Amino acid sequence: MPSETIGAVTNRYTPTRHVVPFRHRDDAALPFTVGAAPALPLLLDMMVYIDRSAGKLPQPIRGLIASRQHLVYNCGVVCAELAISIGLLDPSDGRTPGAIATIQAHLDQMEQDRCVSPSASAWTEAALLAGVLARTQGLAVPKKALSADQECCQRGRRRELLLDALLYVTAVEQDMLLLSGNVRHMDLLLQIRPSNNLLLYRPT
Amino acid sequence: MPAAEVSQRKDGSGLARRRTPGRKVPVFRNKVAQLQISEALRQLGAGGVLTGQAKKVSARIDHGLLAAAARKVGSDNTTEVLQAALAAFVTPDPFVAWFLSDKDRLPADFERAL
Repeated sequence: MPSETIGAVTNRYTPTRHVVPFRHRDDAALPFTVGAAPALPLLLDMMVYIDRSAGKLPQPIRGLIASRQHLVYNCGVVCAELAISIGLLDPSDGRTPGAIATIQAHLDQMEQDRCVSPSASAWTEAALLAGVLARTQGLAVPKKALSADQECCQRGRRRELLLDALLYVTAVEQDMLLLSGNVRHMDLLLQIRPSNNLLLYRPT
Repeated sequence: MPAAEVSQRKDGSGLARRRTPGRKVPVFRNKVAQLQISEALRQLGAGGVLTGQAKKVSARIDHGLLAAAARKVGSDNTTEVLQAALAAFVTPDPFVAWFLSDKDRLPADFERAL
């Protein structure tokens, strides 16, 4: 029996059905309640690390992480977001060695068998979702209508959407609970691809 | 994972030890506890801690503590509750401990690069 093709992933969607911009919803319509979070392993997004460092992670979120020992996972997408800064930081800046050491310390804590990565199907689904959102949210302006800077900006924002979609779809694929402070993008993703695999928070 | 059979003996006599015939995977009503204990036992097995042999022990444990542990894992089976508690006790999650600590804070001006 031949295996299912990647095309099956995109065939599940009808992108042309989405023609108007998605609106951001009130918090009441979003999964913010820690107590109602499904009993799933946790997947952390990049904002969780930034908010942890800033001391802005809400106590209920810290409590949830504490209660899920052995069930806290990282995604290759977040590992990449951390790792790129190691190469990116200016070697001539006196703060760089300390910053690199801190980022390296984060990666040193992430055991390989507690890391997951998006599959080819997840990449494909995430790209489709990002494409739909880019179009509906005004990021589908033809190149010729944009200046060089605008075009660069549009591509960057599409990539942001793609990375956030990758993280979200990976959580769905792995049946994990994505813990995210990225309310704006996750709200959009949740509208186009509903699931119980997301818990949002706002930094304190 | 090898099972460690633990039970409360009425006569309070010492430890008994016997080989467990096969794998016994406890099933808990608490799904998170189920996953956590499975992972803890997997680690203990991979680390060579588990022997495949079981000791029969007699222990006096506060009734409230035992009941609380039973509620937490979602099991009425004393052996499974105690096994789960011991597995969790000897395998703390170093990632969670680190995460909840003050160690390794990213710089205040850290920016997402992607």
